[in-house]
Amino acid sequence: MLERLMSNLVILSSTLLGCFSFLYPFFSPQFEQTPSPAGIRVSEMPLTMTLILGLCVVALLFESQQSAANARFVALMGVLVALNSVLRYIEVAIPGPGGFSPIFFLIILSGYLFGSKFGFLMGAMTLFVSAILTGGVGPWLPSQMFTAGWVGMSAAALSPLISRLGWQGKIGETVALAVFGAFWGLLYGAIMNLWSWPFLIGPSDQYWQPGISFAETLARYGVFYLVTSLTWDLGRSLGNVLLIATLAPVTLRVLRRFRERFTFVYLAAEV
Amino acid sequence: MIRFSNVSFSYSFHQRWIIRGANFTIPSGSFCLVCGASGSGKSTLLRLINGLVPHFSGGILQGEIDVNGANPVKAGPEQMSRQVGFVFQDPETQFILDCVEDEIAFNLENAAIPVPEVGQRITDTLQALGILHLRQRRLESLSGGEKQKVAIATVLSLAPSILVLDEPTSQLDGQSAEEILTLIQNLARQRNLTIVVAEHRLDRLLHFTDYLVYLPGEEKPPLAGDTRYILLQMDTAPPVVQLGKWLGVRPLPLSVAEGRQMLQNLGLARLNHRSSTSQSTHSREEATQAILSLENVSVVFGKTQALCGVSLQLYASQILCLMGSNGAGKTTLLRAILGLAPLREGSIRLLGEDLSTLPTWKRARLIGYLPQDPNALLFSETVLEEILLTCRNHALPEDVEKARSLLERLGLATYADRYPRDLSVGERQRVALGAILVPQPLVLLLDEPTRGLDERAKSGLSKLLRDFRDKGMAILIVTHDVEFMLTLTDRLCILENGRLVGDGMPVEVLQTLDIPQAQVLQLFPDQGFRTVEEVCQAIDEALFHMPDRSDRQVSLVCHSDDNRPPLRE
Amino acid sequence: MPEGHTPAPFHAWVWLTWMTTILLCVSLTRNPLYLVVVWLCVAIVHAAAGMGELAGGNAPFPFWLSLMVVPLGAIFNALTVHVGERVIFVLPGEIPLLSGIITWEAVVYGATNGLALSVILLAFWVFNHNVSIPSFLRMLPRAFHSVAIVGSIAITFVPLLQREVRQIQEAQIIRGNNLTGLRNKLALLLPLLVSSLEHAFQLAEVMTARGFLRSSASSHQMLWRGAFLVGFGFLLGGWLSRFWGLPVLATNFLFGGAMTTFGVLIYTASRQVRTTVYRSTAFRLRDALAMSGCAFLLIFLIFQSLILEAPFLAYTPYPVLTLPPFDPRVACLFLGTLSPLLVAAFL
Repeated sequence: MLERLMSNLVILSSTLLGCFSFLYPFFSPQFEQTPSPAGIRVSEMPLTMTLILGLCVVALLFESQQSAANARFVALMGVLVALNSVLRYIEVAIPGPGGFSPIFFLIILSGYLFGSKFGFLMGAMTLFVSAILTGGVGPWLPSQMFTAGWVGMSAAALSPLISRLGWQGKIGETVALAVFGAFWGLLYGAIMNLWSWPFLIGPSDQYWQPGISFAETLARYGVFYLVTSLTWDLGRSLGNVLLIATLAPVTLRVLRRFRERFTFVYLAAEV
Repeated sequence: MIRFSNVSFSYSFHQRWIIRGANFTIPSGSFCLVCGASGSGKSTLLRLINGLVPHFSGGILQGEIDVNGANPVKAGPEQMSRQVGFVFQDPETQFILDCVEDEIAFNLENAAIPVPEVGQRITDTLQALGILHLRQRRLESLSGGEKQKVAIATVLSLAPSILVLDEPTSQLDGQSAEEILTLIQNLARQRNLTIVVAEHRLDRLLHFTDYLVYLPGEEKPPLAGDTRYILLQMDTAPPVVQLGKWLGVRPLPLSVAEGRQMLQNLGLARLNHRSSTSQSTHSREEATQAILSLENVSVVFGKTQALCGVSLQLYASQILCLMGSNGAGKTTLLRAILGLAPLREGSIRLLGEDLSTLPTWKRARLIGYLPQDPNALLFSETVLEEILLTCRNHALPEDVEKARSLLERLGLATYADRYPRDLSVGERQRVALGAILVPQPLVLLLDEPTRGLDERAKSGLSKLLRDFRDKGMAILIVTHDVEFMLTLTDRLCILENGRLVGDGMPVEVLQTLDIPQAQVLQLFPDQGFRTVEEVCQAIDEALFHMPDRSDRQVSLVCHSDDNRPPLRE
Repeated sequence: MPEGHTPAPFHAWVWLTWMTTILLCVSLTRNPLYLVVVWLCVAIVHAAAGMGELAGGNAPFPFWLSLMVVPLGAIFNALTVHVGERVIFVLPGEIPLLSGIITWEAVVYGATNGLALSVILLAFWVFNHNVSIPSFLRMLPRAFHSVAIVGSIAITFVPLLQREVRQIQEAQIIRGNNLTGLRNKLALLLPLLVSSLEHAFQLAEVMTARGFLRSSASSHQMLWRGAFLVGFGFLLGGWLSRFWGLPVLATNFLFGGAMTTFGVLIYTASRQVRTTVYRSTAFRLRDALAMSGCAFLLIFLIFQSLILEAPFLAYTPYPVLTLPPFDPRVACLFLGTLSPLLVAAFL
């Protein structure tokens, strides 16, 4: 009991801290008033925030890894991550409309069927492995891993909901998953933007005027978002809906059939 | 030693006992062969030794197992891995990392072997298996046989006292299989290992076996003991043994050399073979036009010439087998016929029409192709669905009745609603065949169809193909399995380095080749026997038509109570 | 990343140190002149890497692409921040956020920012290019053993999957599927999934038979979770100290505390994993030399700028654009990042 509490606490605090590091640029102009002699404050360097985000990812990885203690989990995870990474090649090689990315489909379904730890690892490791394979390890990686991991982890929450509604195996299930995919399609883009924004605007000591308000900072971000990424995110969102709507029923059937053989995963699932 | 005491195992409550009442002891340091038909429980028995059953698979186990003092059920496979090295069937799915050295090191790291020792152990193991030159190679680039050797190296590096191999050669071609079997025998001689092997290719290993375990299946207890003694109680056996059993000779000959000795002792070294009559009924070449005709076909991949000036004719109602060493171009030939490999020059005609304008998916209506691994074809929910899917693809009406009758012809009528991947290897192959035969093609191409099949499945396949041939189909089979080939071929062609170097009657062409010959051929060179049945028939006639030899043959007649087994159908 | 085992000129740790140093340099200064020096150092090392002096590999990442970020940053900043004294022109009207004075200060600031970003991108590219995949996976701490194995399996399986895709395509073709259209293409995914799952099952069996050990179970898990929470506490404290305007030393102390906690945590967790580590690449003298050049710079910068808060790297164009200070000795400091190149050239 205590163990579960501690486990959830770690997950919660990592997530909160991660979100906090995303949102920090909105708060910092309001509060950072004392200029330091060095002219640069470590705490607001975009790289610091990426580092902190990285630590959060590490914590969540460590936590999720506790259930990855046996061969079946590891083998299943490895193979599915490979499959998803190959799908990501498609995203890179044949760019679909906007930010269409085929990887979320499997991440959502794995999280939904196999639990939150599996879902988190699926999301984080897909991004990690495909980054290694395409030579794309960069400062964006921690936030990609964090967010994609969260897509998987939150998908596990759908499972009790859908079973209580009795929609398992029916069209309601597909619809719910598609809506979930649409939602995360937009949210993922928004979060990734949140991450890249500080890199572009730099540390906030340009505001030599004391304390620009939160609202104004937010407004600036709004323009940035609209200009750069709304269409992109719509592409991703719609892509998710399309993939889930067409492939989910048949994929879920296959995964459920195999779940019996990998039953350890099912038993270890904790939301 | 490995002791089984009253062991019974079933995978679940509503399934039958896979192993029932196993009671035997495999002596230390012996070479033990486990045989039996597919599904008889060989794999399960082997996995009981290192604890994979029941720890990995689940199930219900009764009885006790003792492996050199340890109880695998209590210890579990992770602990048993130090004592028992397990090598699996499929070389493709056994590796985690990409480099040979890393893969072996991974094993040693997991066993917490101290770092200074790791390098040395890797070198020693690779040297013992003769693959030191592969140390830095990427696993992806190795052949099946090399991969299997690396797999053996991986488990051997932990210095286990028992080595278990589950059908190590079933996924390999003839050459690699020979290498692996020789390797295993060398290991048995050089090291003090207990080796337990499950195999279908009994002929190569029997003379070497100290202890034989036979699983009759169907809930009967396994028979185990001295090789010759158990062989007498088995249904299937290699040709030499069959001949020995039929002739009633004791002790049974296990190898070709012993077989020759036996024949000499009996004065049967030379027999008349009335072969010509049985062959001519199938060679209708001169009468009909070729269905499929290749003229001067050449295929080039990059810098290598895969096929060079190959000209071949395939006739209706004929089975043609294509043999050759690795890389000779056999698969390339099949792919060229299908249109999957582009022709540099030459032409391929079907019923006189050039195929070069027809894309592959259209050719599939006229030419059926069964690839080496039929699993890639199967992904529907039921067997019936697979058939109907092909109907849809070819834009044919989805006639369930016709589909069911096709399944009947293939002997799959009762499996119509089963999930294809749950079936055995032989059954899956038939489902794949069914999927291809839907448009009723004129030509059937098969690429190594005997991989992974046991004797019963092979003879079933042979009969099926002969049925198709009799109904007018032209069949081209690429295979390395000489015995299988002899049961059904009308014509044999040899491909070497992309060129056709032999084309004619099977037995004659075979004698020009340097490959491991069928045992029957080795016993009776130059006499054109293809199967044991033919030999027995000739011996029968020799006995009945030679009254003045009655003095020597009296002893044979007396043993007639164990002759005339179902061999003679 | 380069695959396999072509012997690399430098150990992976060298590149990690190098990259960390560059990233720290970039984070500590907004002085465009110093940034240009750093950019040049990175560009030189990158060009050498690309031309195969330091490592084998693929075509070099074109600099031009990374330099494009500079004008982009300048324009974005100029258009959205309307602060400064040297006005270029005024955007009339009431367009939200865009109208207002367009100043040189904003342009310079934006350009500097872009330059910093460009250095970051190049540094990561050099790292990717010079560290092979197996070396990278080996760098992961032993505490993440399972994760590293998942990574290895995935990386090994990807080429097999690509082969499988081709086989499935052919299997479809020989059944009369002409593979045109989205629906037919999607039909490839399902057999791929099924065969992957089967492969996973077989692989799991093989791993079990080979004694893939369970990582030590819950003996210390509570302790580790507690340590994580303590580390997070430190991090949060560090940030809050900014809000409350505490002296920077306090912030640094708290962040330092967080790093230490996590470091200790990972170290002890790694010791728990009972496997040995066999390294086929040794750490040689040249690796040590290359690494030390960067390491000294790293330590110096941390000490001076973070702890002592010496202002020699400080510069801001606001409120009035002035010429940035340039001390040649400081510039020479940054040349320490060229050490891999120098070691490779002279050893």
